[in-house]
Amino acid sequence: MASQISQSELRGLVLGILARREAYGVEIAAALAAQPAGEMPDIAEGAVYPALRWLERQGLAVTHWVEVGEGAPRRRYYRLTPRGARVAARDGLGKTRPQPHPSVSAVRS
Amino acid sequence: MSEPAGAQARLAAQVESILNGAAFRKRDRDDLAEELYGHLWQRWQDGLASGLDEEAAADQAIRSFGQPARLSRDVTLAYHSRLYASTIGVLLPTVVTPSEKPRAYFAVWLVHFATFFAVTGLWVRALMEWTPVRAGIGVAGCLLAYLAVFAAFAAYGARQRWALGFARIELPFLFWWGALLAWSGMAAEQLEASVVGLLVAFVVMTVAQTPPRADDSPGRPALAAARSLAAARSLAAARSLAAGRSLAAGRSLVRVALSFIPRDWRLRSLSAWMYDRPIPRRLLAGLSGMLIVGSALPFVALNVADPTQIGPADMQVQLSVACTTSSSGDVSAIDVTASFSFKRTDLWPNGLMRALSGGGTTDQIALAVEGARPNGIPMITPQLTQATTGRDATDGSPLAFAPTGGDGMAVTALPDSASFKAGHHYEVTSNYSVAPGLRPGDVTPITFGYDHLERFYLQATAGCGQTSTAQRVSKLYVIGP
Repeated sequence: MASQISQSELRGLVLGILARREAYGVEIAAALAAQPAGEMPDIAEGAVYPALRWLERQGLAVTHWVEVGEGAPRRRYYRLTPRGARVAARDGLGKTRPQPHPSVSAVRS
Repeated sequence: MSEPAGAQARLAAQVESILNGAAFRKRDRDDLAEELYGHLWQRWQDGLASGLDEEAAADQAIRSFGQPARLSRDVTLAYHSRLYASTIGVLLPTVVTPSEKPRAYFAVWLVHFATFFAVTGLWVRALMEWTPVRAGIGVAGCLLAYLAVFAAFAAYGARQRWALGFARIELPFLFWWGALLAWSGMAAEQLEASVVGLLVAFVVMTVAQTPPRADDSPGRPALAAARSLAAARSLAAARSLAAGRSLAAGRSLVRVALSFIPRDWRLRSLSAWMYDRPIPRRLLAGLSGMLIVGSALPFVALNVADPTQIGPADMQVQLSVACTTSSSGDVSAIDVTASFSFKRTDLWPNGLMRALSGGGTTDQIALAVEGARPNGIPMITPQLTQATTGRDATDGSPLAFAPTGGDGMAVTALPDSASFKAGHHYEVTSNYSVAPGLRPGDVTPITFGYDHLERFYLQATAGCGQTSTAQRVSKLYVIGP
């Protein structure tokens, strides 16, 4: 599945999902994939991780590891920082279903 | 993350493939690897739960995760700009190099190091010892080459196969670099700068985290240093041989250059150990160009006329000779006066290092009689005593200089030309008392030579009671101390 979305758009989508609740990568990828066909471009599941890492590096999200069970890898959960929440609120992200929003690319730490 | 097996090993390999193609903070690698593997693992479990076998579930998880090359680039973009991601990010991904390396690894590492060392030594020397414009050109050229070599050096530490290919370009570079040094007679003077270069190279090498690495055995850096010095010494030996410009010297140089080439079978083994990923051809061509053009610029700089340095037209020199006769009609004394003035003076004529350390006595004034005696010692005979004085004739202050001649030699070292003032007139006078018996007609014309930092020479000749303006000559017949 080829990614057909720009980095800034994907970051906006991920920020919108995190504005509703904290989540880990698989959940975020699933949330993106759950959008009605035709409304969302194809997004490779792995593409959410560079976006998440960017949000963390910009100070918009923080992470913590959660043990799942014996034999299973830990999960890394992301939640927005107050600054991330302000950016999400400013751009109207997270109130409705995820929408591409390029303005996140303008965020600077 | 424990060592996976079977289908799980494929998932882990997929993660490695993605991360090995990305440039990011090294300390983030473990977290990223665990996170990406966790995703693939969970998707793999989902596939198993839906009834797929292990391999099919792994295939599905890997396929839906995305193309490794694209994900590598996206990870790089999470850390760096687009420009970085498409240049340095391609050349220098964040790769962990295990302590166990193929046998040929260190041989090729030496090629990178020797190139790095050669370039570092030259730009340090250019910066410290060359005149400003020449230093500027030389350092700019060196920096160009330096960046290319540094990138290759760091990439080699990151197991990038392109750095292996780049080493093949560096080999002939090292060959002609050594030959050019020998040809230009810079080999001996290169030594001090090379020592500084060695230190700088090790510091940068440590920063670049190329081998020797912190997680290697403590003896490895020492071994690396010893082998590098041994290689440098053999190159120096070849350079001294080449000074003789013999055929044997040429063969020695070739042997030294060839000694850096690892045996073919080892190189193939090493090549298989490196990571191969597409590097834009233009990027590699640019790096090669930076190395070749950059390393040639210092030698071009040495032949560039530096406008910050004065030439013959910027100064005027006059020679006047006065002979005193005794009551018997013999010449009892000869006063030789050289007066000179500068329209402007040199800027850092001996480089930044000498400028910072206060310059030095580098100009030379030589006085001589007895006509033209090519390669002979300038003498005034029969001479009893000789005293030389100097002054700034414009403000009357004494001129600091040290007569270096003795027993008839009349060579005087002047202060650095940068310490003179433009527009001032300076005089250097040598008073000779002469033994009885020298008739005025026997006094041969006295020649005065001015050597300006071995860049240009002025020379004048005058007999008793005469004054002469110095003219430019290609070589002084008066030899310095």
